[in-house]
Amino acid sequence: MRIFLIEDDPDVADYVRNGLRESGHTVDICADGREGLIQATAEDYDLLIVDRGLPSLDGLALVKTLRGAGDSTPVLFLTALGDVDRRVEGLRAGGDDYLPKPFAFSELLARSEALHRRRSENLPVTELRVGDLVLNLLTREVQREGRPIELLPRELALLEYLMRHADQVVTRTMLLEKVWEYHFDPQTNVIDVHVSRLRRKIDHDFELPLLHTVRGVGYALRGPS
Amino acid sequence: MSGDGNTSEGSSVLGSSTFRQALGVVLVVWVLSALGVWAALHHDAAESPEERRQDIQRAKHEGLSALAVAAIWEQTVEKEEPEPFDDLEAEEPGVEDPEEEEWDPEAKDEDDEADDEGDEEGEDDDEARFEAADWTEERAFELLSESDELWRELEEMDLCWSLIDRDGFWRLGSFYSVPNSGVKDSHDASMLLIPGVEVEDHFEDDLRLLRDARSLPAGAEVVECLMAEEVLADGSRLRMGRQWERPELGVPLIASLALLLLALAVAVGGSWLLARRTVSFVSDLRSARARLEGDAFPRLRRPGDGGDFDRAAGEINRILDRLDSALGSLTHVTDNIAHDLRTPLTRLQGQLDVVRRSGSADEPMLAAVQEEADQLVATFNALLRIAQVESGSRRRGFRPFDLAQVVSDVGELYAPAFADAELAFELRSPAAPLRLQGDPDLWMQALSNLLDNALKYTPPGGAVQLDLIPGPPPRIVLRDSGPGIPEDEHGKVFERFYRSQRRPRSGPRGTGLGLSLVAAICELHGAVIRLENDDGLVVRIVFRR
Repeated sequence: MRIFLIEDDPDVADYVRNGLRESGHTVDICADGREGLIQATAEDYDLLIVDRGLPSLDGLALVKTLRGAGDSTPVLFLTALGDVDRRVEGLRAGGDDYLPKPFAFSELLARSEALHRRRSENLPVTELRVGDLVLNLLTREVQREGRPIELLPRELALLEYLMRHADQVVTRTMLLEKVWEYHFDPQTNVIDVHVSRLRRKIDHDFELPLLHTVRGVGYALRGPS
Repeated sequence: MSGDGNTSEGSSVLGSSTFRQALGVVLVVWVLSALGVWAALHHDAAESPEERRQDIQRAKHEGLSALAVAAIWEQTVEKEEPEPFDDLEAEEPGVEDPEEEEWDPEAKDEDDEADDEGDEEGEDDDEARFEAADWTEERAFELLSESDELWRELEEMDLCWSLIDRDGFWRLGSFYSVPNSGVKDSHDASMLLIPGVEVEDHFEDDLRLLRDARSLPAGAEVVECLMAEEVLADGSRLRMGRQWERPELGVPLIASLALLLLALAVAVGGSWLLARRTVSFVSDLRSARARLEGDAFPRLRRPGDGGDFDRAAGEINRILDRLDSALGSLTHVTDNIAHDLRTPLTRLQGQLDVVRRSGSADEPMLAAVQEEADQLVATFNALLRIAQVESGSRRRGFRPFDLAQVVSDVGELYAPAFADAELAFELRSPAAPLRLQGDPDLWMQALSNLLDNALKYTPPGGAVQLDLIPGPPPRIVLRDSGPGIPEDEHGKVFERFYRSQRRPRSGPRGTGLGLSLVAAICELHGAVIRLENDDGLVVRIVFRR
């Protein structure tokens, strides 16, 4: 994935770039808003990671300009200002996701990869398939190896999100935001309980586990490679 | 949010004590001034006989100089026999008599001279009369202008004067006619004004008024005239009058002035008293500020009269209370942060040290390091979130939301966790939406923190019950069957990093920030949170608006 990081804090920029490179991505860095805008328009990137506070042109204006020019490259906002209305502001300006500082790199990586996938997410599909697990989006029915699996509505939503991001790591925070649609920070493993219940239903009686725990980060639904 | 109810009190100007006091002063001043003006308008002319006598004396003395006029007269009018008239003198005998004697001798000298000449001219009476009748103003002016000194003297004395011949005809002077003096008018009753000698044109009236000055109409401008008359050697008379305006300083006038002065004194005194309260309030403020050097905030002394300054002092004291607690919690928090972050950082250092010395990092060791760092980030995030909520900046994100939905969502989120922990979890929430203004994410966070605690501290087999009561006022009640929190810790558990003595049933002890965030969220939304012990812990959140 080709990622353009527009961040004026050199420490954060280095840290993010090194991490992304180690994960196999190509990263360009720019520390100035106006220069960043020019470069983002000129080059073809898969993802922009944009800091909200930038010299000469702030991140919000940068993304607005970019969107105004018809550029739909996914944008992940970074910010030190982690309040809700800022997040809403950022999303309204055309950002696709939003990560408050300080953040764990694994969270950034998971969100970046999830955004990359978004491009194909909106294609009209009627079913999702991971290995022998099938989710029919029209009937909301789940089957594995042809055997129907009964899921509660929330479990179904959870599974759908995991299937749409198959082979990617999704963090607990991402699940809370996308499946429960709340932005908050539970102190306990309350998400884990839901995931393990889902796992019990889709993996318990089957030979090959699909839903994996990524230690310290979150979960990934992986089909047989 | 507490104390907000007090801010609306006393905002009315009409109800303020300063307004009432200022109004009082103004009213007193107004009443006194009105009384003063009334007294001034209704006073009677009251002049003591002694004052009157002195005035007349002065006029007479000044009039003496005018005797020089007699010399001119004698040159002008041919010798005539003196024939004194006593009419005028008879009018105020008691007053003038003593003075007359004083200057009589001088007059006598003049008389003697006139007498000598009068003897010679005795026979030519008719001719003299003719000549006298032939007398014109112009000739009189000519004569007077020959003696500049005399002329000036007359002017300076501010005298009215005229010479009346022995037949009572006016000859020369600044007025023609003096009624009641037996003088026959030579021409008409109008005044002849000599330039430089001002005479009121109502002189005649004034003379009358002089006689019965006590009957002056109320409020009349008093013009007083005093007359002195000298009989000259030829029997003609020199009459001098002096007029001046003089305020009548009668008793009522003095009283009215006194009232006006009193009004002034009340105005000044009242202003002073009002200003003194302001000044003393400001000086209280200053001395309170001077005492700020220490770590405690001194409070303002309250006058205790419920007035404006009392309320202002109360408001300032409330601000100081708030500052005090904010500063106190800041100090407390700083200490706690230092303490609470040192431990995991030390641990992290130790783990990194092990990794470096062993030369290679195995996966479990790295995971432990990672977890430690994540925990630190989580603690920082929690601290930042509390600070952000407390700053009130998140109020900008307020919007209408359904609290019943949030409660049922959080219940749904936690139900499996309670089931795994072998706790009976019951959620009672109204089916109808409960609309509130606020931030649903924050309420999700607050309820999640409370349910986390219930999960951690309630022993297996227990029960947890979450109720949303639509009210009004809307209330959230969370009961568990755990050990509760000792009464004396109920206030402290909302402080940052405060950890109760009770130990969690399972899992880590947490950051010590969960309840602080809950309290901050409640405060932001104007809700009150209370703890009770009732066979377990009862948390009550009451929405006040």
